[in-house]
Amino acid sequence: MSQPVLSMQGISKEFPGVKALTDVDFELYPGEVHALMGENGAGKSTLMKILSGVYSPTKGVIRLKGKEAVFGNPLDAQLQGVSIIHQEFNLFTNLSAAENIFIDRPEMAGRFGRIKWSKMVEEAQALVDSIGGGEIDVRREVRHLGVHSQQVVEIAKALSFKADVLIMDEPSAALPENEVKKMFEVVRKLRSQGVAIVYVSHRMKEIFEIADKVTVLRDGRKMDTRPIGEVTEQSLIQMMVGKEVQQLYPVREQPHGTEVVLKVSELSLDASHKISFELHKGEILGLFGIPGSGSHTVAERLFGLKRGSGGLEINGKPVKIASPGDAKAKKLAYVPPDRHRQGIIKPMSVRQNISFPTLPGLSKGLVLDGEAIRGVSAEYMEKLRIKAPGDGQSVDFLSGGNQQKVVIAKWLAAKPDILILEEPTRGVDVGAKAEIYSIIHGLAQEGLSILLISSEMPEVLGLSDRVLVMYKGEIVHEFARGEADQEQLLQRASHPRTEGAAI
Amino acid sequence: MKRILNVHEAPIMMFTILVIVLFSLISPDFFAIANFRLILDQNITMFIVAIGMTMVILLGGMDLSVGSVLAVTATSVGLFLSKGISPGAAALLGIVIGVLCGMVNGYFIAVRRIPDIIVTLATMYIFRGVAVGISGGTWMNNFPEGFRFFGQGTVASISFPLLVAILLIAVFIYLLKFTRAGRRIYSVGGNSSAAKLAGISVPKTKFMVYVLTGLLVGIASVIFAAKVGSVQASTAGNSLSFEVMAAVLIGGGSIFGGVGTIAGTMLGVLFMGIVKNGLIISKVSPFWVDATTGFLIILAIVINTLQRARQNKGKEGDLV
Amino acid sequence: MTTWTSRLPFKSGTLLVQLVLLLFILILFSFLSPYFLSVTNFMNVLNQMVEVGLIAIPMTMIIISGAMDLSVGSILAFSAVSMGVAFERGYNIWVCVIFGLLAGLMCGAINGYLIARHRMQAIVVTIGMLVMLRGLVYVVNEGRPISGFPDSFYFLGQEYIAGIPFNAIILVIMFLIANFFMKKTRFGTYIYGIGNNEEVVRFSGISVIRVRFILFMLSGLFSALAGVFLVSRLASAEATSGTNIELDVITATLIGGTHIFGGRGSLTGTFVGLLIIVFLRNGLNLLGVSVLYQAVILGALLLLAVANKKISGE
Repeated sequence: MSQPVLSMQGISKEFPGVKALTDVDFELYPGEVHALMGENGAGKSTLMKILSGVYSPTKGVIRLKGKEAVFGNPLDAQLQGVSIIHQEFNLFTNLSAAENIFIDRPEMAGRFGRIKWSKMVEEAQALVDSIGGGEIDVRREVRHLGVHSQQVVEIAKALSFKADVLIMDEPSAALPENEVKKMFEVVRKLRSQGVAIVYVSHRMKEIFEIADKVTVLRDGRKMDTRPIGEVTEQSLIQMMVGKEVQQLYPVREQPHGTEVVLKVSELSLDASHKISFELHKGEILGLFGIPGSGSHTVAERLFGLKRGSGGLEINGKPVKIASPGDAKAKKLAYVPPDRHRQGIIKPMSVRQNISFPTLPGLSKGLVLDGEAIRGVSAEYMEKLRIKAPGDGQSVDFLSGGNQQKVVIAKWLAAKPDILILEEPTRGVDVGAKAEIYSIIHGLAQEGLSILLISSEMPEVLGLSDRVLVMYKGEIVHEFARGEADQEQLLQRASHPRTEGAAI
Repeated sequence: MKRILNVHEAPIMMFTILVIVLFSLISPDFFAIANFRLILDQNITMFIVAIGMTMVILLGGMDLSVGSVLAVTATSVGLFLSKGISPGAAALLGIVIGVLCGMVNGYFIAVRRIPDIIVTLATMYIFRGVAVGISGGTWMNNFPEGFRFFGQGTVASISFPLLVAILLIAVFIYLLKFTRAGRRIYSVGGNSSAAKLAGISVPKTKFMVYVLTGLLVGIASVIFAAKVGSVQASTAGNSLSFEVMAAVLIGGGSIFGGVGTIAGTMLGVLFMGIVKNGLIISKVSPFWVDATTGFLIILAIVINTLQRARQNKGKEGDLV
Repeated sequence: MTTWTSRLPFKSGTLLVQLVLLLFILILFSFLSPYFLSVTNFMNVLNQMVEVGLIAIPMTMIIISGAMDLSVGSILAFSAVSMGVAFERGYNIWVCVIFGLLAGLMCGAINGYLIARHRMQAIVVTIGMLVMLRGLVYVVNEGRPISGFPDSFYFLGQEYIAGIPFNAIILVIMFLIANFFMKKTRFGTYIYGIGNNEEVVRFSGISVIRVRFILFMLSGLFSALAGVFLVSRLASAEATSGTNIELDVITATLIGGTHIFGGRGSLTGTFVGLLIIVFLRNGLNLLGVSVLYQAVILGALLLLAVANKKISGE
């Protein structure tokens, strides 16, 4: 094909204080599967959001079939032929598949808005069949369908808008292994019908199996676009991975202890996946996985947010953790990945947020001990260098980095033995990152045992004494400090466990 | 064939049959044609109002004010009649007032985006007060002969109110199942952000539902007034909102929105009617009726929550 | 420790508006009715505001936590009638009072169990309780009023100490205790926390279930207490007691600046809201406005309070 169906030229996007995309060009031809790759924070999601009409670019031009296009909102983009399928489906689970595809479409209604059910069902079934979803009865309610079938419905919905461009965001993350193949069938069918597909994924194996071209983003810039035949896994990873900013990560001065603080045996993540590992005193244990690996579930299970089976030993004693309260009592602490939803209470002050989990210890009888509360918050504000006009400042007005430090502080105030950190630097600027890294490092030096769950490779590699790599609910590899670089890490995280791989 | 045995209505059908058997065993008077006709007749207002409440609950909303709207409409109709306005015109004006009440609710809920529970709680008192105000606190009765037809007349030996109810049920079943407007209600209740993404206006849909509910309550109140023959503004339709809500929930409607059918609701109303009638016929203290209604509301939300928990269970296995 | 109200930036000035509204009502009715501005009338108002006031305390906490309790009026009646029935069976009146309070506590526990433990919608559950308990009240005493309580019992609702109604003194003390509780104990902090971000509270290792459960228990207990005071004041336990009281309670709470979506609010505000409601009702009574018209005005005020909050909240 000679003419691109979609071309983006010089796209830049700035948010207050951050430049998410700089001068990105992107071209998409009909009938190709174009993989979009990049590390977390490389700008993939911003680019997708611009493409699907959620954001408008600060600078740059989007051309659709040669004509300049402006997408006011997602519906607008959809009507112009650009549809997106999110990781989390946006379906009406209470309605039939047919209706999900054709909801409120004028062409499916006759006079006085009468719905042409038979036409709708017929066309929906035809659409679904055309992409290999023949086993789906489009009259069934979507909540009765499996994940793959729901995905097919999403794709059929996009096609019903005569989509020229289909963006698929981590389409395999929610699918079991056997259904990924079915999804590929669907994607191939779409390609043969001339649809251009943007395939966003972390999984190398899939990229090489399905993609025709690949574009790599890094730090908001386009690195390159190449035909898939011209790249290797190695070269792709090299493109994605930036130079490591070594000075961000402090050097370990003394080795961590050898005693096992936390022993996890056969901890269930879901019905079919169990994991085991050990955490030593003063160790920073990294846990790395791409989306769908289950690393987040590990934290939820350890902290009692989700129930299941399996044994836990803390300091040699078997413990049962059924709720976050139990976990806290057992000296576990958890800094969750989404600080806005799970970490801070916005209108409350820095002081109130820091003291929140430990209020029982900061009371005299029933009455809160104001002095002790002020003391604790002052102590940790100083220790973590939280910048705020005062401890009475509402956390809402703090920068992301300082908010994150408040979340860490509130758990340090609980004097834990084990600290689970999940995405501790998500959405904070580089300066704050370095500070948080030195805090984490310092805590480990003081003897705190840390489980660091992160999807940022430099951070996992730079901080951890050991790194466990997860893939689809299993620990597939273990690296010692300095043993792996980002390429090896990503390589391990993108594949199931290989024969002979050491654990 | 599968369509007929829709899973939603199956449990309530079973429950209904169960109570029928139960009361037939307890009281010999229960299982009789005359008694069933009585049950239908006594619950005509409920049937009609429940259509509106079904739509409201499908949206994931709630309307506590329907009882008061009934009072205000019935009272106004009484007032119009006493002023010598012809029965037909009075009935029509009454229905218009019902629609206006619905518009008031719809305005605050859809346009001003105040939580439905607060709006309808407030209008529940406001409309009730207005009803008492215009009635002057006295009974409205002595309706002219022509007006009584709306509540007691027959057409081809079928009761007129029953005909109206059947017609309305048929129209709204059609509306909800076969028109864009009806499907919009389901989509907004099921996933309002997806509905927005599909270009459906959530406020417009909500507004429409509350106005339609007002219309239905208006029609119901004309029948109510004509049937009972007298209206007391301070008590008319007092516990109607709660009973109708219970009927919808028992009939398989989900308080979280998006799930429920008119057919299910009608079975729910029938169920409530049978229970009430059975309690009275079994010579249980009539005071138990209210207590039972409340118990059924709680039972309905328990079932609702259990169903939701069961649906969510399958999703928990995901690793993301 | 500085108080919550001064801590939250958006609260500043709201209390002032409420006080101005209260003043406006006081001045307005002083002009409209010659009887309004008198010590006797004021004490009368204080005497009558106790039931609404007592329930408004837990209601404020529940709304701050992001829920609502519509069953309070029925719990009030259920407790009052339970107490009356027990008294008729010949028990000592104070035993009966405790019995009534336990009845309320039990109703609150049922609410709490369903709402907190099983995460059912508070509104539907409490509506169910509202209807069911009101029905049970009629079942229990068949709709007749119960009276003939001993004089010592009337002390609660009818006695004046130094010219001030005893029950009003109790109410003020309750408000002070509750205010202290909200501001100076961790439980209060948890309530604000749940109202603002329930997830964070859970992630902080605090049992949201326990806090919610306690709140609904409190609501049941205070509704029952209101029932006891009402019976003492009116010298009779009636099946209709407390009907529609939730309108007054919720309106007082929301006019008092508590946010309908939770997270913000104060008992100080509720107290002023309470005064606004009771003086408004009293003034309207003196002008001979019927109770149902008063409900119209209160309903409108409720809508206004919430609509207004929506605008200023953004």
